Amino acid sequence: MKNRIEELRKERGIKQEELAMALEVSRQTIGSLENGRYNPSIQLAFKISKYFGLKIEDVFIYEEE
Amino acid sequence: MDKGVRTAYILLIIGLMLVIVSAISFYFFSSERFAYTVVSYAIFGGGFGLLGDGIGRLNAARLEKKDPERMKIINIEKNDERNIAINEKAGSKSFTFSQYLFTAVIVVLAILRVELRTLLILLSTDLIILVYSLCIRLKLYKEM
Repeated sequence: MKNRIEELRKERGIKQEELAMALEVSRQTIGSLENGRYNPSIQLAFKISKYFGLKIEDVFIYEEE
Repeated sequence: MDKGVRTAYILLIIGLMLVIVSAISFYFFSSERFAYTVVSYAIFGGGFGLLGDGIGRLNAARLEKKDPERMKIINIEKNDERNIAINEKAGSKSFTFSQYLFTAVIVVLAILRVELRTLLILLSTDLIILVYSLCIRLKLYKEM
């Protein structure tokens, strides 16, 4: 699953550490999410979308395998 | 008193008592039977484990008061969902590996014609682990 976390974060001028603290996850998790190495739980996905003030489908792009 | 601090003190006290009991049993009974020595060592190990846990918990409670910001970061690292997922995956893989290892050890010991009692102890240990795994699986099937 692709996501726009890095793009949205950079648009808003937020550091990975700041986003991690706001979402209560580690900085490494943010890095892994941005690189697409890790897919978040549904709860974290909602938390991220809420943080950016967007719908979940505007942040995460579902791709059929 | 905070619940965490109370637990830490309880663990410290129990640990300390176990260490003392093990020292006394080692001093007075170890010469009587070898099994008593083994039991003394086991109690000593358990006691020191609890002592360590208690000290760790006390330190964490102290840090929480002294530096709440740092404690928050530690808690985030601890509860981070990716870290939890990594730990669970590592645990699951090592469990599978331990099953192969157990089988290999049992076969090697059987080839070496080790005493049957030793083999049975190993086999029953493996069986207990497998039954425990099955119980957890059934519990999770119901819960999830």
